[in-house]
Amino acid sequence: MAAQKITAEQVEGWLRIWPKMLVELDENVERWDEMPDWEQVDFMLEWSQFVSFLENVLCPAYESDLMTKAQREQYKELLSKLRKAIPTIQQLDLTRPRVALEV
Amino acid sequence: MASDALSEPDRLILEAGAGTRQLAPDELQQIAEYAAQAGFDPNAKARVGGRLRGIVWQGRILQGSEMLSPAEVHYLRHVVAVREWPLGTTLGEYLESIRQVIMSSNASLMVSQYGHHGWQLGVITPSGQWRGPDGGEFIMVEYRMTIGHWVTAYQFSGDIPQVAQRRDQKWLRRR
Repeated sequence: MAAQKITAEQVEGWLRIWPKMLVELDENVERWDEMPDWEQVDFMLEWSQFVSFLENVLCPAYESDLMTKAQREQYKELLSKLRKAIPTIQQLDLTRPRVALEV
Repeated sequence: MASDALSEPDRLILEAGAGTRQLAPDELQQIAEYAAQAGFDPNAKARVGGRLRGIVWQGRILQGSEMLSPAEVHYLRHVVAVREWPLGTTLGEYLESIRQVIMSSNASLMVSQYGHHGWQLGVITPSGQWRGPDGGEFIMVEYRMTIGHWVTAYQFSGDIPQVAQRRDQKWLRRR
C-alpha cells in the first residue's frame, strides 16, 4: 500500500495515547490468565494497531523531522518504555515493533 | 448468538478457513450480512483500562477498573481517546459505520485464527468519510466466530497490522 501523508494531529494523538497503552499492557499482564478469550484477542489486535501507527506514523514523523522538539522527547521516552516492555511483549506473544527502539 | 449448532454463515467461514471450498459471491454476501448484524456482545463487559482512565463518559470520570459494554469501550477507545473517527461521531454512528464497512462491496474479506483462539472474519475497507483527525486510511473490523460478535473495529494506515499470533490467514475477497 502506498505511503500516506502524516498529519500533525496524528502525531499528537498517537504520542498522547501510546503511554496509556503501555499502562494497559502492564495491567493486562497481571490478569492475562483471567481474561476471557475474546478480551485477549481484542488486546492482541489493538496492540497490533498501536504498533502499526508507531511504525507508519510516529517513526517516519521522527525520522522526517515532522515532530516538534517536545514531541521528539516524548517519542524517545516512548521508545525507552517500549524497550523495557519487550519482555512483557514477548511473554504475551504480542507483535514486536519493527522500529529502532534506540534513537 | 453463539451456540453449539453452527449457523450457515459460520459454517461457510470454517470451510473457507479450512480451505475445503471457495466461496461464491452470494455466499460472501451471506457472511457479510450475518457479520454486519452481529454487533459487539451486548451481554459482555469489558474493562475500561489504562487507555480510558480519566475520560469523562456519561457525566462521570472513568476509573481503569470499571467495566462497560464492549460497544462503549471500543467507541471510547477509537472515537474519543484517539480520534480515529470524525469529531462528534456518536456511539450509534460508530456502530453504524462498522455495519456499513462490513456490507461494503469495496470491502476485502479474510479469515484467520489466533493461536488457539479460533476463527475470525476480518473486513477491511477504505475509511473514507469515517476517517477522523487521528485515523488511518483503512477500517478493520474483526468478527469472532466463537462468540458470534465483533471483537474490535479500528483504523490503520499502511499494511494490515501484523499480529504475532495470527495464522492460517486466507483472503476470501481482496479489493
